[in-house]
Amino acid sequence: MKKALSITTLFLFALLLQAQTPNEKFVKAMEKALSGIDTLKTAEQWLATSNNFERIAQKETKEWLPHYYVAFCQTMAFNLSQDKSMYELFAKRADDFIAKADALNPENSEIYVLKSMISGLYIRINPVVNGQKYSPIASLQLEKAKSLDPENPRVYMQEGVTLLFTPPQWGGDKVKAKATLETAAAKFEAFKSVTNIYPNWGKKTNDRFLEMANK
Amino acid sequence: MRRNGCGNLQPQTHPAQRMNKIYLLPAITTLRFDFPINKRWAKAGILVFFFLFYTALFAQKTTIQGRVLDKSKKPLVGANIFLLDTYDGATSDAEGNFQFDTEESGTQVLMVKYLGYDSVSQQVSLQGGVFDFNPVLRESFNELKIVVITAGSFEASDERKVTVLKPLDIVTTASAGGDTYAALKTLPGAQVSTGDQEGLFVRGGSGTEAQTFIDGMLVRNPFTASTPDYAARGRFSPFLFKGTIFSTGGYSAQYGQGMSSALILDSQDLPERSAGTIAVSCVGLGFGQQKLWKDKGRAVGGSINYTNLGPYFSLVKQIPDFTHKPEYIGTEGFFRQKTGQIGLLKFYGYFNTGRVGFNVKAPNDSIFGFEVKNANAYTNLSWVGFLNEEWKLNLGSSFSQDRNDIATSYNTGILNPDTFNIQNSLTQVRAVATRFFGRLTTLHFGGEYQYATDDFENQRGFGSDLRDHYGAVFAESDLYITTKLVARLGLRGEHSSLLDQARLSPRVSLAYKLADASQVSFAWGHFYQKGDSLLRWQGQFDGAVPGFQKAEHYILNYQYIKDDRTVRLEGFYKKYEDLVTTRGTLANNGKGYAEGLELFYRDKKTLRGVDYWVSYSWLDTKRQFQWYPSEAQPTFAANHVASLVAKKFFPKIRTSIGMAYNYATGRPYYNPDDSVEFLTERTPAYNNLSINASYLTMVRKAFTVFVVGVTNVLNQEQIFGYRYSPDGTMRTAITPAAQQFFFVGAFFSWGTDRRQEVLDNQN
Repeated sequence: MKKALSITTLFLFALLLQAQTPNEKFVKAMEKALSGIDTLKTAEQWLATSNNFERIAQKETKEWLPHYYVAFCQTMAFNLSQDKSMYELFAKRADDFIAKADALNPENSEIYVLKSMISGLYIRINPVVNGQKYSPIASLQLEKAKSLDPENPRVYMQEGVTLLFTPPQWGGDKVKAKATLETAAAKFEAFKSVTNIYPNWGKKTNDRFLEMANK
Repeated sequence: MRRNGCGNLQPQTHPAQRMNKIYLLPAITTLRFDFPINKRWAKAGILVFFFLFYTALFAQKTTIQGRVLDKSKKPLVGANIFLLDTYDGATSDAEGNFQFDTEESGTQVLMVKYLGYDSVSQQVSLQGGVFDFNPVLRESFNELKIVVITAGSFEASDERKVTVLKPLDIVTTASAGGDTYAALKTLPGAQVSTGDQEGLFVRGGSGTEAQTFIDGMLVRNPFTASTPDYAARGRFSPFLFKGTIFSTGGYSAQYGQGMSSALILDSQDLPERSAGTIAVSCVGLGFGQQKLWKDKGRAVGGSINYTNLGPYFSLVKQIPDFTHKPEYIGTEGFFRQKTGQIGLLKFYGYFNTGRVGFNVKAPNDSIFGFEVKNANAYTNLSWVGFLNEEWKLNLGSSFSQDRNDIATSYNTGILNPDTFNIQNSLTQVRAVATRFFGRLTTLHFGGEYQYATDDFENQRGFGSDLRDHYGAVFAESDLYITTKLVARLGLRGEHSSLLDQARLSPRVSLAYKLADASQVSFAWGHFYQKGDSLLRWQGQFDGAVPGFQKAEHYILNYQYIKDDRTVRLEGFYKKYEDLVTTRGTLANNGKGYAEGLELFYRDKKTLRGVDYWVSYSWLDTKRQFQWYPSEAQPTFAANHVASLVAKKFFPKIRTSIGMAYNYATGRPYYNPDDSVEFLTERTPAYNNLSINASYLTMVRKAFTVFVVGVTNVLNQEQIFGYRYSPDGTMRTAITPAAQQFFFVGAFFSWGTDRRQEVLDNQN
């Protein structure tokens, strides 16, 4: 009896440790995939990084973060790619992954910021067809992101960028853009990431946009 | 190329079981040192030891390496190669090479994913050492790489990517004034100078040879009330349609009864959101409202439009003396409802009444008077849905009725004033089933039934009442032999009770993709058509009803579309047989031919911000039909037709400027003088420069577009033909009611930002 108990204890311990270890492994894998993400310069690099996150995502089907980062990498690849024929594929894939992230972690401000950015990608693919549909969707998604977390600096960055690059007759406004980007900069200063694998990008990019708005 | 022993790669499903216990290893290692070893634990220790030994035996490191290639042996850079359900994997480099290590062992699934290609997975057995893996990936379905049949057809669609036009191009063409038919006249194959008759005159065909279809169903009266020598506009707003296919020949076996051309219109699905519109212009007022339910599964909408050219005509002098200035009042409504996840039910209804009357001076100073009152109703009810992944069903029914009360007056002393009452209706049902085979190949088959009435009577007691039961069955397959080669094989059988005749029309199209951007296509087919309103007069003759008229088309097309540049070249030959003639008796004694070459070039790239297209058509045609005594080039055919349409948006002033220049050589006209050979004289060449401008802004909360437009800016004389005095000694020119037309209007919308559409279309 005692022997059976001890073996059971042994296995319980093993199970307990087993339950923790994969999580550590997951965090480590995420940290590894995130390392050097600030230094990526080309669409190809972003896609390779996206591959890393996708491998994690296909194993950790209950974790929203790897799915979120795949969508983010696809968005960045879209922004840097010169190959227009790939735009739709990037946007579609970003959309698929952010939808999964949203299903795993509903009502998250970061996810809504990215959703809004992805709606913007659709507009860029084909303004004639998608503009009318996605412009209001993009702004609604951003509003929602703001209501979910008014302290999220990326909300203000995305809002500022939209103001900065929209032609004045459609509501673009350089002065407002500057003010919004400044708000974003302040929120970036104050922003404390929940964990070191939580979304924490955009500070430097925001500074660059702010420079452009100052010109 | 390196290959491993596993041979061919087969995409496989994900096996349910996963061997994945290696991560126990560190946990148990920890246990071994953290717990004091006593007797009781020793046995456990032995267990652990065996377990460790077991795992260690299989925990050898395996290096997986290889190269990812596509079917043409081109390396794929950026492919994701990984072991399913693990973190282990790598991305292929510029040469397609990859390498990674794994401590997994035993049966595993290797997977390769690459954007735009089908994923490949393979079950493998890992036992340490080096494992070679050289997957070959197949490109996924991509509309841009698939050949489509383009011979004879111009498509404007937002849904399909590779189209020559977008629906908004039709609305914004400067010479069109928002009329679909006028916009299509700027495309090759259509006559542009037929301002004296409504309809599309395509490739030597008369206006009645071009049919309009909405959601697959024939529209019998697509134009507002017809008046002699002045063209009528299309009834339906271009905003009603999400897709337009203008076929100048060789069209699908799903459609019939047009010897020259088919205009295939696909009505809008559910709108994006609720919206309201108000239109104010120099010719009328309009108001519209649509509502989309919150669940986005249902929408209703309606509009009312009033048009009166009276005020405009009192400002801008018109050549005819109007006894009743053109006046129309129209209403329309729609209802659209999603049925389940995969079906859509649509209803559209339209009712319009109009009145116009004028006096024209005849050459001998006598007066020809004409007045028409028209009432038209049109309804269309359709359902489309998928039964499952392989079957799609389209069902439709439509009813329309049209009534014209016409009064004419002459004071020539030869002809007496008369009144006519012309009424027609069309009731139809249609069903088409589509079966999908794989990703591309389809089979459509179905049938339609139409009941047509045509009643005619005049004051002098002459009348006719025709009834026709027309039925058709058809089958057509788009057979993809490869993604680069498609054959469309169609067959249509038709029967008319009035003509008491049946006909079978075979139709074949082929298209072959030469390279990513270019392709050739060919089309051939038989096209039959009833004699239309001519049959109304059969009572005047011997009562015999002539049979189907026939046209046979041969079309060869080359198309190149890349980077906002489109080139289309098309050559055709068309042979007419059994055209209805009216000399002595109604009979199928006519014949004819048409041949030509056409060019279309569209460019949004070369000139910054300017989108323009050029079209040119050369046409050689002769026919004997109706009252023609011999074969001749018909009055509606010009040999050379060309158009230039251009648009540019000026963001700083939020204004879009458009222009269109239409040119056609002279058309034959009839001179009753016997010494002149039949239809050998030509009118002067036709020139028309139109410009329009739209200014986009906000008025309170309404998105607003202000539009101004002028046709025939250069005030060039346009002559469509001549009216001769009864003795043939005097004539007057047939011209537009005014040489120029000025348009000023404002469109306000709430909910839907039409400004964005206008803007985006300029880019």
